[in-house]
Amino acid sequence: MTATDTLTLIYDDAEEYASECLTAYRRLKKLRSDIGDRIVGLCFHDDKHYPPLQAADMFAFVYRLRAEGKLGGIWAEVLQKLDRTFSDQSGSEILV
Amino acid sequence: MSVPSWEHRTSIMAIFHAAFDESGKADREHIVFAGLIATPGPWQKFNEKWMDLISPFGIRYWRSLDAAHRTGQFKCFRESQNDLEKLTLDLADTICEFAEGGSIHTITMEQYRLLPQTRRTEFKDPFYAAFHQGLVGLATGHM
Repeated sequence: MTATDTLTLIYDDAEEYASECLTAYRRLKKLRSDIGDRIVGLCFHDDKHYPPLQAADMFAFVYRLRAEGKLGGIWAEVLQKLDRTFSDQSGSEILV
Repeated sequence: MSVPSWEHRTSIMAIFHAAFDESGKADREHIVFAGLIATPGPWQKFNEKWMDLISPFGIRYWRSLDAAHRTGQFKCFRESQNDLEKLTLDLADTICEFAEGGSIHTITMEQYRLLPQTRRTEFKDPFYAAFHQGLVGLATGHM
């Protein structure tokens, strides 16, 4: 991605979270105009019908297993593959 | 009004789609948000390959927690662990093949508890603090 590229965010359409996530997104855009210029849209999809969300589920799942010290078996191999390909990670402090 | 150069006009047309999902809710010590990024063309090819991989097993959609416990649609793998492992690795390879960027951001309950009360009130729940963290990371990361 280049500095001028923009992102449309696609998030799982979970009834109990979607509305507040939209509020959080709008609040962040007001707080950080640089983020508003980068993430230019948010939409909700049912993950059952959108494989990229299923892939993101796998991505998040293996990293949570690692964070909880429960990584093992096939999931360790999955994490190795993803780790080799994607490097943008944080876990230090909550970003403003 | 000036007309932007062609280079500028083409550059602003690169709109990436970031599929964004979490693992863990406020009842866990860690909440992880992950984003996978690609332009629509690669995502379309990704969709086709992903469905080609899972469909032969009668699986309509992937869910990692169910796969890990072989529950729900994944009960069919209780007698064929090797098939599930191969499928899982093939899917991971497919992610690596088509996604053009990936971003992973984690918060812990300890981090959340250390936030000032005003920020915790603003977030309402650790889940939304993690969502916020994931968005900031996605927007500012180097992919």
